[in-house]
Amino acid sequence: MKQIKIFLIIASVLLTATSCQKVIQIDLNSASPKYVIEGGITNQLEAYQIRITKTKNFSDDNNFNGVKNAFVTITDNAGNLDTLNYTTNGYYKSIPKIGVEGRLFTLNVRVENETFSASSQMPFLVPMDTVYGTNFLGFGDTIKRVKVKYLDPASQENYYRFVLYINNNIKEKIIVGDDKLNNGLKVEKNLTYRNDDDKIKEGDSVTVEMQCIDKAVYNYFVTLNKTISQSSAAPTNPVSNISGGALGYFSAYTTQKRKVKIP
Amino acid sequence: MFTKRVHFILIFFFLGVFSVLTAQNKFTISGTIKDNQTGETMIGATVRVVELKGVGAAANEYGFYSLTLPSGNYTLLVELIGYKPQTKQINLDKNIKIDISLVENTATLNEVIVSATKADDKITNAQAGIEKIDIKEINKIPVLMGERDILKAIQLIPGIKSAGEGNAGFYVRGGAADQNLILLDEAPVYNAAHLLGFFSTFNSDAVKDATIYKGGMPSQYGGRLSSVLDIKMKDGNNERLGVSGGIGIISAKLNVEGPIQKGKSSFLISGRRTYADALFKASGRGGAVSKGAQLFFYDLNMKANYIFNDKNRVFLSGYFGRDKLGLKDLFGINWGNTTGTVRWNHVINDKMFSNTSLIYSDYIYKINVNLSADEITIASSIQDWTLKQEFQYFANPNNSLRFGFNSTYHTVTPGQIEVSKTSLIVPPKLQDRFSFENAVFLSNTWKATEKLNIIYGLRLSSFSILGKGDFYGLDSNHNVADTSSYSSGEFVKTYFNIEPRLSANYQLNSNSSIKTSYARNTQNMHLIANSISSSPTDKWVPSSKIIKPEISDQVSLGYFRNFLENKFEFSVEGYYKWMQNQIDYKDGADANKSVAVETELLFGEGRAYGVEFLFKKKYGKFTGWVGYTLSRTEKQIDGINKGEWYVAKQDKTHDLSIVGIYEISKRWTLSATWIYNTGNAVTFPSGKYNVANNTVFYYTERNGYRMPSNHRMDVSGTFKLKERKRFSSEVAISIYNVYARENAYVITFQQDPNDASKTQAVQTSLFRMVPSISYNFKF
Repeated sequence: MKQIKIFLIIASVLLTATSCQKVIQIDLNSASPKYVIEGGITNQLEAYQIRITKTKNFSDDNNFNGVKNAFVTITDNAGNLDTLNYTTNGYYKSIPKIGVEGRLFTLNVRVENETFSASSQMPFLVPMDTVYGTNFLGFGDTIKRVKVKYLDPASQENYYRFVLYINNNIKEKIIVGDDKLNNGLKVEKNLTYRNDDDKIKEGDSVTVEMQCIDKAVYNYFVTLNKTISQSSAAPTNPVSNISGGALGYFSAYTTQKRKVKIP
Repeated sequence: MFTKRVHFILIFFFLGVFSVLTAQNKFTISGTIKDNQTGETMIGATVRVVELKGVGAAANEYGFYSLTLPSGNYTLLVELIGYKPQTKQINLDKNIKIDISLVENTATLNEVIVSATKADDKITNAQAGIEKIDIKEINKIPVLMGERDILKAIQLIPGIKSAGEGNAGFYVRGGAADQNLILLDEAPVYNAAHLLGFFSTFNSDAVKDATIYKGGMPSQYGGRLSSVLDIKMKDGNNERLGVSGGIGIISAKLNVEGPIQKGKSSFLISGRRTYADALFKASGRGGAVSKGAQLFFYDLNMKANYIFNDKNRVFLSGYFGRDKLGLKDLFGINWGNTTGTVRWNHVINDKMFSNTSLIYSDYIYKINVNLSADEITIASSIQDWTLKQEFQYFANPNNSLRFGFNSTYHTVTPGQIEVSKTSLIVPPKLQDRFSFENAVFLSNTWKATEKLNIIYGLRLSSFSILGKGDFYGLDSNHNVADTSSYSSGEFVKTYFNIEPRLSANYQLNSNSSIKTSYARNTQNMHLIANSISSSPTDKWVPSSKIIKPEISDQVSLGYFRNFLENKFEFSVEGYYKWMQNQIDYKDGADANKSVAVETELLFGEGRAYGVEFLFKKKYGKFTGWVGYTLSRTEKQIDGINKGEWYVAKQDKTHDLSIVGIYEISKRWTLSATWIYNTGNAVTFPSGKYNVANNTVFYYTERNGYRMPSNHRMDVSGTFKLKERKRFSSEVAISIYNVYARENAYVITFQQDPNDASKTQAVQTSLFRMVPSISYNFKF
């Protein structure tokens, strides 16, 4: 559906041929700062990690300072309790631990007089099959892209997130998938990365991280993409799985990485 | 409260019927009023009795009139603006039939703007909230790319607002774009936009009459909340073969009409084709993308009628239009409407006129995507079959009744995804939706006293959801809680509604009047749209167990005054509208993959109020108008904006249009329009934060900001070339946005490309100055 949207935009620009863009000044209201919580637990031996920051006014710069004085704990439904300690730049970390697939994790954050909580169930891992680079002929030139292959399990609803690293630099593009159209089938998912001043090129080393995420987190990223693309007539904040009025998400996910050299 | 309203209506009906019963010793004059040159029937022409002040009749939409009077000798005066008045002496001692041919008033054509309405129609007509659109006047208004357009022209009328530049949608008195009932020869048109909304589906060469009702709709209309735009195609010239056409920078058109039986019946075929893509390729813009790009539309209007005898006439009319947009074989989308109407006019007797219509309407879109290993098609359609029966009973000069029924069977095929080539995807099967919509209606145009005219009526409507299909119940989290399956033809649920309609005019004196109206409307076909611009793929969804019929109640009050022998018109009209069961997507809705679309929707209410001013000069070398609307439209939907009232997208506080047309000489006409309006209500960020390596904007309230105000001036000049015998032609030059105002189409927020630590707002504008030229001919 996304390509269709893009095409519609292209078409309307083609048609008008006289369209123009300019930077304008708008007086935007300042909102009282809100907490932003972003955090995750993986199936790898690494620290549980949460970052807490605050929103800023639109006219401010993009340096988002960490919030230091929060009390952060994570519990699971097997009775474990971990306290996460402040490190730097808003990050709170536990000792390195493996998150167990299938368990429900609950995050609790207390900061100043506010409390926030969120739960996420780590899905069972769906193994990545292969990752390979391929060409796609479209829009008048050759586009390099990466494909990931995996077998979607038929027995449950599955949700995925893919993170791209090009030459070891993480890319901001959010790519998610579900299995509504291909439950129980072999999947070949296209992963493209192409914008005005950056794209996948021949010779690049691309790492694909495949995450299995739960439904609420998937929903968060889908709505986050809508917020970022500003394609809706009435943009809204993404649907967070955190209660208590904070922005952001808490995800317990499995992760696997594969690297490929682009031919 | 409600039963009281019904009582009130019933009393009115009794009054009307009572005066019918008292009629005695009377005879009827009836017939058809036509143009003597083309044979087109003259909608709205009036027949007045000179000897009896205030007694007369108007021709209906088929040119038929009927007038019942006590026996005696009378002089009939037949009038229509732009035509020479005609008088007829009659000796009424039996029922008589008189067909009248009016002669176009060519002598004064250059000084008088031909209008389809009577000079003082605004003062005397009982109908409130009505605007007749003058097709000849439209042809003089400057337009984008020289493509004359009814939908663009009506947006210059107060109370009717543009949905935005490059958007054929319009908002009437705070209603959404899908709340307008757009009829082409009685067939509903589901998507009136061509080329993504830059043009409308109505070819003005084929249109005879267009009327829009902003409120107080007569009871024969129903099914949409906010307005009725009733467009009637020309019948075609029944006197001689005629050809007209035009060539412009992006389109060409040709219109052929002529007699089937000379002087009686006729046909008309009118076609258009745009070539925007060819022009674009020639301009060399867009580089590789433009090669292999397809972007055009075509449409065809056809109509024929046949007169069997004095009492029976049959009309066939059809419309077919398609838009195609594509890029090589990678991607394609095409969409369009097909409509067809078969009508049978039957004069039962000299007082009773019947029309039976069988109507078909279909809107489809189809998308092909071939970007990856899968070739995907998405197809969606909405198809209506309607049977409509209407009787008009011209009881006496003070009462004319209209009654009948309307039955529609809707089939809605949602955007079904189909995959060929490989089996990497198995899309869910979305079910077709079937429904049966019925209405009976009755209305009376009643001349209560010489000064008080009332149109009152009632529409009883029902909407039945039929099987086959699965229907859902939702829990409080909008998830499917239960599913019930129904077999083919089984009734799932029926909604009944009673819709009273009233419009009254009290004439204060010969120059001024007060009008008031009330109308309840319901709507069962809902367009769910959430993107910035309207898209051909926006979803039409019928009412279901969860989606209730939308209901609106509107009241209006207006003052109308004409000056200087009806040369100038002034009016002020205020309205208030309540809307129930309004629909919006919930945050993060994904309608394309959801089997139960209801899980993605939220429901609430709306209110709209405003006041409209119109000052118009109707005759003379210089004509035109100034229209101004001050209005507000709000919505309240649980789950949006914390459940508090918010300003709707279509809210534009101030809306001003100025139209001027100046006939310099017999050959030169100049015209200009200027519009100004407050920007749409929009949602802008009030802050920002970082998540998942993105700088994300933080939104606090729905529609809390305004787009910058829009204003624009368009000018055009029409020069008539030398006329030779029957051949005439003209060149029209127009400039859209003459002072190159950069009106905001959309404003987006982004990271400053030159400084990653900053964010900025970027405004996109579509059209700066767009000149165009077109050549039109006729013989």
